[in-house]
Amino acid sequence: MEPAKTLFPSDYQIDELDKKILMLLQRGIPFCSRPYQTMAEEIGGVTEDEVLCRIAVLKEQHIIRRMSGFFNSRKLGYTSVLCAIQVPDDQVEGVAALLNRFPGITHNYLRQHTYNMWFTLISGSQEELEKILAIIEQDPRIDKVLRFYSKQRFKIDVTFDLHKEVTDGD
Amino acid sequence: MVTEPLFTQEEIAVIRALQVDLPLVSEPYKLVAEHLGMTEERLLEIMNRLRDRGCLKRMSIALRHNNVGYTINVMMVWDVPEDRLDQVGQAVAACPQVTHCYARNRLPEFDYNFYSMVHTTSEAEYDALVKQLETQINPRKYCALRTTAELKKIGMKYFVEDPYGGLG
Repeated sequence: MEPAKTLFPSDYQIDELDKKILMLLQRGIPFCSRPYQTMAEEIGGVTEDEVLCRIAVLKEQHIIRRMSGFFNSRKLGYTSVLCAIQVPDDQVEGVAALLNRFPGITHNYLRQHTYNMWFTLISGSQEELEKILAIIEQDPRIDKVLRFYSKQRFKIDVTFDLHKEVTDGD
Repeated sequence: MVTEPLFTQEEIAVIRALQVDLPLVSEPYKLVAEHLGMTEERLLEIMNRLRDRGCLKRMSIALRHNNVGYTINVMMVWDVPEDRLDQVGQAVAACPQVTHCYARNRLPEFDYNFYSMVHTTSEAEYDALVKQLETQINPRKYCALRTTAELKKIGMKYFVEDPYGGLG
């Protein structure tokens, strides 16, 4: 099995300090004047400057893809839906280009199934969301967009444990 | 009908400003506040208020997880009797390799009602996890959809762009 393709492969090996910084960042950057200083104190034995430098490197290496506010889309008045479509292999690129134009399509993946393209759409209203899906369904390459709405959320936690033993993919 | 806007203009300005990367300087919020033309105290006050309302979950990072060893990423979908969804949801949510789990609507083309995203660092760990989940969930049927390519992954930008990407 080929590992999932990534746009930014990185050979950079993270060390123990990187892991500690990444775990703290995943938990949340403090809301205070000098948050990196607070993090440095919690880690112990490092300076604020070292923390800042490490974060800069982790961003450069594309291990951190963004460092910013994480919002609850529903609480902001937005609606979201998971969608699936069937796309022939030779049309993946073109269809992806169409989907990726929409700023509310935040995630788009190829998955092994007859419905092979899966994307999430976040939108300011149900009406706007349906209008966007109607534009997509007008495209002759796309037959039908399956819509999966969340009825109940049991977990959303994108915190990755970096302290566990990581074995090489085989 | 006139509905109350959910947010003040000031709050919307703060939400927009926090969607871009936090500056890598000693006092990042002070710098953000300066751009917004407000004091750091005011910014932190609004951030705390947005957090208390559940709007701002946290200031944090998104990791490129296949760069930190999580190379196997699979959406597992399950057909579970409706009356067992709660129990199954809670059990699966406790599993550390499962980052997201949801109950969703079934469709004739895709007859599953429970979704879990699983991330593992090896095939062996994945196989063991699938066995564990099968036992825990005891589904009528299930399907594992491996992620083979990431075509887009961004953070949502709220209160900004043309939602139709120029096609509206």
